[in-house]
Amino acid sequence: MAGLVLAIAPGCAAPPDADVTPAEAPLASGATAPAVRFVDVTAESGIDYVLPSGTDSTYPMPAVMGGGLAVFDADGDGDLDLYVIAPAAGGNRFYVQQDDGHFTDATAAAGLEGDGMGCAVGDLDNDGDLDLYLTRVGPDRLFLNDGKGVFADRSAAWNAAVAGWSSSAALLDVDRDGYLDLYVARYVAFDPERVCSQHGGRRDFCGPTEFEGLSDVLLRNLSGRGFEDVSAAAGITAAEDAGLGVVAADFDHDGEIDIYVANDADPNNLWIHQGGGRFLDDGVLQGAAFNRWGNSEAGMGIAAGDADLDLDLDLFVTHLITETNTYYRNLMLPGFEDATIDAELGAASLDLTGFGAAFFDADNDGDLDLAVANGAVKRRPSALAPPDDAGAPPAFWSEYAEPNLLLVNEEGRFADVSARAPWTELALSRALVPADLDRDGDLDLVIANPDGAPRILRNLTIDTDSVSDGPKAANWLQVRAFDPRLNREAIGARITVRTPDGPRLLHALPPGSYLSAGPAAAHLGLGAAESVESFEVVWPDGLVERFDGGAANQVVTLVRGEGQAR
Amino acid sequence: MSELREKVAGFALAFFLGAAALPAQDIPTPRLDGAEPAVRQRIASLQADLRADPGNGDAWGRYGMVLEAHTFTDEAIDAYRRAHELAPRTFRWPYLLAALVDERSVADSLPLYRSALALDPDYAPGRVRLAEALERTGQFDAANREYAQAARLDPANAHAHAGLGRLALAASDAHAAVRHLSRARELAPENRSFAVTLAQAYARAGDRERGQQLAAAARSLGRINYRNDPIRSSVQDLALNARSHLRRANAHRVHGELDLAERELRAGIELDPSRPELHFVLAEVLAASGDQPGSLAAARRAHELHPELEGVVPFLARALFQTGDLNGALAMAEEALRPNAGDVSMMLLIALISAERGNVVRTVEILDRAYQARPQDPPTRNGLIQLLTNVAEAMASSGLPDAAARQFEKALDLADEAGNPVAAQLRRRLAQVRIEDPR
Repeated sequence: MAGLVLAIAPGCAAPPDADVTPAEAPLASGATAPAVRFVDVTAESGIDYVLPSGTDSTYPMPAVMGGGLAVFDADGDGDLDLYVIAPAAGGNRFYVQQDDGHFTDATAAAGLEGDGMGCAVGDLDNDGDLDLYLTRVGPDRLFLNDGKGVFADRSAAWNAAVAGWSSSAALLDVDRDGYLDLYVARYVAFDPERVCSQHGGRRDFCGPTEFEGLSDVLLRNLSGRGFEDVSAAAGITAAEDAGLGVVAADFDHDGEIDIYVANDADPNNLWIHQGGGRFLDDGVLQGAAFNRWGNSEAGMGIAAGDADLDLDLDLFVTHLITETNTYYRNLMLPGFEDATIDAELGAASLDLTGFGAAFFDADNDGDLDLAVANGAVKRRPSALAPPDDAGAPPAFWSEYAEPNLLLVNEEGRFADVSARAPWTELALSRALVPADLDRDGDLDLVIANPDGAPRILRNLTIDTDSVSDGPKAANWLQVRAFDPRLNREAIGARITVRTPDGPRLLHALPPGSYLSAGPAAAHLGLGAAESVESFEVVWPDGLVERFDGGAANQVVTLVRGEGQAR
Repeated sequence: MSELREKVAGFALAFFLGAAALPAQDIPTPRLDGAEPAVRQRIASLQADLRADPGNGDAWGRYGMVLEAHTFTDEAIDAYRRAHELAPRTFRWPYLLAALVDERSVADSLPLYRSALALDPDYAPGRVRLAEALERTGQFDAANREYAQAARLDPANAHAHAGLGRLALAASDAHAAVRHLSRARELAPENRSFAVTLAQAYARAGDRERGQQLAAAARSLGRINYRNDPIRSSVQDLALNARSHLRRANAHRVHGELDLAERELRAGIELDPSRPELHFVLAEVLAASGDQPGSLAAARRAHELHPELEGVVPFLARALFQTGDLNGALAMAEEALRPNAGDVSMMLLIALISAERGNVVRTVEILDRAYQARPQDPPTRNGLIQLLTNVAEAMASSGLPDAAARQFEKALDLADEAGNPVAAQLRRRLAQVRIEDPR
């Protein structure tokens, strides 16, 4: 590990740290599942940048909400690069991953200076590279990629400068024309003059209820030449809520893409596509707008995934302290139920304020675990970090800093395994993206922290499995759904993988829980299984194709038109 | 699993009640840098009481309540714990302690609720809170029993019925859920949580249309759901902040205590003069007290601070009209109509001002617009009928029977629709003016 932070060759895992002695858990197959362990490798990564929040004595609200992140292959060299997004002017930084796994600052060379809140990443002009849409408190910006990781600001030409405070954004092809449209969640009509305080009169950040919510924006892609604002025609201007998180997917499997928006203190929206580009918010009747108690909560980030392995997409929304995070289990009635209690996901989050979250198979055992980035938005009733403590966050944030969470799926119930470093460290964490940065077959995590360095948590699952004497128990696949007609990944494709342990559902969806974007390739943990039987892909245009399976521990690219149509 | 939780929670109870008891002189003190002077002063005063009488459990409890009211949660927990030690027969201290602990760790709150309810088993809001804690920890059968017991103790406790409905919905018994939640909604029609959960229950029971109607209606309900829990409410009554002053002022208004309401509002404004809602409610209170100039000044301030504050522009329009400032009233009424083109009361005000100025064309035009809007609330509709009648009479007496008839017809149409007894009289007048107009 010393020197080389991230191993880059598939199958060539670096040895684990000497001080890591993970416990092991037996599997029914006789293999031994390595207990999930992460180690913070930020210090060795080459990234020592402190993301400026822009906070000051006026307690500007964007400072406590910001901290965005994109993890994507910007320069097309096969490894993942990082773009960290700060609410303070000039605070964004772009880091290119080098062959040795280190990151170097290439912000100016890439043309990615600026500030912002969050982002979406995808190939908007179908030229085979990944473009970047930057949300901001103010006009948004669009950067088109030249294929080599150099970006040009095309906000004006593309009509992409959405006004107001935008937060998260999601890519989706609403009209199935092959070009990715963009849904932009917007937050509140922020007034910097507004002064807010706690009940005792101590100055603090304002909450969303101090301001009017904003309607979201849907931008239709005009064949890779620009955007047209179709929000009103789509029906989404009917809601003016404080939007923070957004996920686009076909939640009811009717062949049309839907949109789920987490709103801060307002009911969440479940925009069900009625066809023809029209959406209707059915969140209340489908049980995804309010929690079990009929309360709207402080919706921040969203994790989407098939957490209960019943082949549909479940949702997990992060919330404020004294609220629990909420797990909405998809019942396909159509509709959801708040299954937070059944999944034992309430207790761990009650005393924390959650933002970024991700369903991901942390231990490659075949089911989805959860990571949650936390950090208060108001001075906590009890500060967890003593002020000015060595290693603690800056004193200003000492009353806001919280630990993050790792929750491991144990047959549908989630166990809190955050009792050890790096999960016990306190920070103000926001965006969180799982991605296999070192390409060793397990998912690492990148977390953005305002007034702190972005943290890279390396997953040691493969390392641990590799040194085990017994059968391998952390096999994996990375699955890409590629459409050669579009020259890009088929965002929105639904993939069912037949494994020896049963079918598993994957989506070609860039993870984008809160102010973030990640790679669209889907990761599948296989446990002890050394191969899969088949893949079935429902492409975004409705075509269904079957592909033969293959061996574990590789990247599989499913190319549209090369399977057996059904 | 639930047994284990109870044991863990029992340990926590012992910890909360005994292990770290503070000496009397160690009074938990929150960080007060930046706190309001009134809050600092109140806390200092209560601490002086404690120093004078450290064995007084109720004094510790009162101190805890003030701390909690100002979100000094850790210190409030310490104070309640001490209060319960010193006054072990008093229900409210373990109860308030349980409710605070509940916000951190639901499992830890269970034995505290039980300990409190052992002292007052018939306090239905406490039974409901215990039931909710049981529900949140997955002990659904026990929760069901507690909700049922609370409903027996207080059949009007909406939250008890809602809890039964929620559990039924989670158990996929949508019809039972509809039954229980309907009862909750009857008891608390302003509660949005009950409305949306009932809407969902309707949908799950197959009555999607009714669910949609209810979901749409719920949009107009506030996001804050109040519950009838006098002991918990008494904590918030101690808060010395602008919002609390506003809440207390509104409570006084409901009981017709306008002088007390005014006092609360002025105290709130002193703490935070930037809150437009305080000025607006003060305007309403002063208007009800007969202080029109004071009311107008307060409403103007609210409008300056937040021109889009709901209701402030129509209020100002009416207030200016009453003080004789017709230009100001007209400008405000026009402003009110811009975002809310269907506000018939503002149309009537414009009609009145136009009539006062002898602008017949404008008067008739705006009354026709009001008529097309077909107001449904009785006072506005009756006002429109009256104005249409007045205009019709004026036209009739000016020798314009045809124009008068058209106004009478509109008034009659509205009166008929509403079953208003004035319809018979209007019908007679319409017949009379038609005779005057032989065409």
